[in-house]
Amino acid sequence: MHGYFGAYGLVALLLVVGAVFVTVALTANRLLRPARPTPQKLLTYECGVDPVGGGWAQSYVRYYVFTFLYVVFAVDAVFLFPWATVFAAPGFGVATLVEMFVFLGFLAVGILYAWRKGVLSWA
Amino acid sequence: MTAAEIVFVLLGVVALAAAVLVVTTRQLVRAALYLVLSFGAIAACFLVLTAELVAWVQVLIYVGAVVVLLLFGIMLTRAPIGPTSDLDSRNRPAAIVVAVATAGVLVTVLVRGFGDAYVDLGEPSTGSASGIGANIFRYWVLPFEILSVLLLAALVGAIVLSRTDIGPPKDGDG
Amino acid sequence: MVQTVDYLAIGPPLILALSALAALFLRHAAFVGLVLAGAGEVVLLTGGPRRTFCVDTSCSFVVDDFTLLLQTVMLIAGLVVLLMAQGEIRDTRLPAGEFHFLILAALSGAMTLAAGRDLVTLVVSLEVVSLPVFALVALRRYDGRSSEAGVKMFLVSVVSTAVMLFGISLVYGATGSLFLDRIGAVLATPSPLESVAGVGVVLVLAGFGFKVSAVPFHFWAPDTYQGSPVAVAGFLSVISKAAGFAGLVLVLVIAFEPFARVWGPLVAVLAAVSMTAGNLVALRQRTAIRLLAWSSIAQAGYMLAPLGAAGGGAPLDDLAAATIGYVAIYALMNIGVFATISVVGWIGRYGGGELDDYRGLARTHPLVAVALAFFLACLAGLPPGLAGLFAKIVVFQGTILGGYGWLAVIMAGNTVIGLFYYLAWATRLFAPLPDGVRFGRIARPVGVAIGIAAVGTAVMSVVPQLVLGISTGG
Repeated sequence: MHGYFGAYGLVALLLVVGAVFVTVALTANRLLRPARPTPQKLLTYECGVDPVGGGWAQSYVRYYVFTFLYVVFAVDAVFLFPWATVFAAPGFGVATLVEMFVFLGFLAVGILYAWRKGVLSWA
Repeated sequence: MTAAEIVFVLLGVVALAAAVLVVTTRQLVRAALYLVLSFGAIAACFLVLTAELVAWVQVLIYVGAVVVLLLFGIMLTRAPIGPTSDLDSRNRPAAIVVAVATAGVLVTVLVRGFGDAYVDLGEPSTGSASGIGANIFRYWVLPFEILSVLLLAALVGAIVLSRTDIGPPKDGDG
Repeated sequence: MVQTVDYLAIGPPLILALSALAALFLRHAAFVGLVLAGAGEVVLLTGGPRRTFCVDTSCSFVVDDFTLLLQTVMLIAGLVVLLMAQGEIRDTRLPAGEFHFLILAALSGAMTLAAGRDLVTLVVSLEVVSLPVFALVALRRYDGRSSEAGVKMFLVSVVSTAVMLFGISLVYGATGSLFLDRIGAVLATPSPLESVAGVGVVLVLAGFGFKVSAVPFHFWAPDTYQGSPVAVAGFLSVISKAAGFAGLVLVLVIAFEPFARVWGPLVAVLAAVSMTAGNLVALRQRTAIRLLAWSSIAQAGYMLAPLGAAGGGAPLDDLAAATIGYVAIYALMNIGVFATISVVGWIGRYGGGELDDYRGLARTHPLVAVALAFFLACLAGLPPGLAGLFAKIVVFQGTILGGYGWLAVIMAGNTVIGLFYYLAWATRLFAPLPDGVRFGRIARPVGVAIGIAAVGTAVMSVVPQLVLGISTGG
């Protein structure tokens, strides 16, 4: 198992083994356990208290901003990986370093703005 | 057919089937989860094509961030869990016709153009992180820097639209 | 090994992007940035062409006559938009810092787009033009119509970008390059991938059709203009449109030139349908902003017309010059109309009010009324609006040069329809003032904005050769 496809073949194999393990474990569990359901047992478990209301709650728009921050910085991180592999390579050097920090600088202003507007506080 | 080709075709079938389920399911949350499956299968397709970095970007951005954003978007609404009948509009037949026609044209053109084109997947160096990094920072620095303005504008735009302190003018229409 | 950067060449958009950052936190940074970017533009205007971000002989960023003309016009229009927005920001309580930031970010994207010479730069900067505008359109978030306008524009724009990206991937697959000049060179030689490239060209064209709001990709425009702040509608109608046309001309003329027989007739049909539908619907409009929305759809048709004649084998450079000249003149006169209607303000349900609200404007604000009448005459292409007349003549010339007589005839018919509604509006200005009506005082920034647009349009009426006959280069 070597080379590009070998390495990822190993990953795929591991995934298959994991899936088989979970399936076998749960199936064995289902076959071996006793099943005596009562209405109480079928209730949704909510820390031992009887569940109140439906399972769906409308969330606040402020949480959406956090998700959005996550998306923006995930995109940001995606560019950091390729950058990290090349910026020390011969022929790149300071210019590439500066280019990445210009990119990060622009996004940092976004964080600064979010902080100034109090988006980041939980109050 | 080589093993890689068989795996690629199987993944393609999974991606396509999941995509069809996304638009046909009557439950909004399930549509989002089928989308995860579709994106994941496409990421695996990229992996088979030795486009390593793109595959992991697909996982990180689409399977990770975009689907989370979608689910939060659904949770912002009052959409109920469970089957919703008004997910289908009366334009369904028209949509099917348009979708099939578009797909037909594109598939025909692509098969006629690239049907017998084979790419040697030998050394996966262009698709790796260092290959793409070298390309970005040697040839595509300008779009990369413009992208930072785009991301910042998206961030500020999202924040300003979610601010609750922008109210109407006090004395009627200004 | 890394690309060298010519900071003077990228100066104006760079300054705008930096001043956008500053505008988030500082009050007057936006105007300082615009002035500095304008100074940079003047320096560039006095020098020769500049190229930067090059790979071998192909460059991503080129400052030539085409770029300079569009950038200058965009800067002037951007200044007018910011000035006219000042009254509206105060009256409808919009967040000023964010407004300035979003406008400047979009403007810097538009300026980069005019200089971009590869498909990646064009697409990314086109997104930089669109994305801040979604937020700007929906900025009056206490108003449902504003949110609706934002969602409509967002959906249409995102779909059009997706279509365009798919087209670009096909073109890249067929040619193996993203630089416009290299694509042009590859497409000029026969290849078995011609059909792939052809479909790619059509998809890219469809994507740009949305951006310039040509029929049948126009339906978002009227509702979006109506729901957004008047200054933002002006931005959409002028700077977004100019950016869309800049990208369209660059892609069609430099990269897809060998396929002129494929896209030429398509563009001709788009042009004919856009101007006819836009003008006919504009005739029936009762409110200023919707009239302007439909009129700007019709004007997009005029701008497309010379490009549509490309199938006839006329020199593409001349046709592109006609389109770009019209875009430049249209930008100045149309932004003038938007600046004047922001005077009437937010009456009832509409920014800019109904056409009947303009009755008697000449009695209380003669200068504003004369300016508005002048802009409308320009849009109609009627003396004394010589700028518009010259632009129309050049467009007609281009269309006939390409051998598309039928398109010229349709255009002539449309010009007559256009005269009706532009003049019907202009005559209302000079009607007697109805009882009990008074117009508010004009805020100084708005007055300055109208003045700048009027001077610009007047200059174009006297020396139109400044903007007509600009070469797109290659």
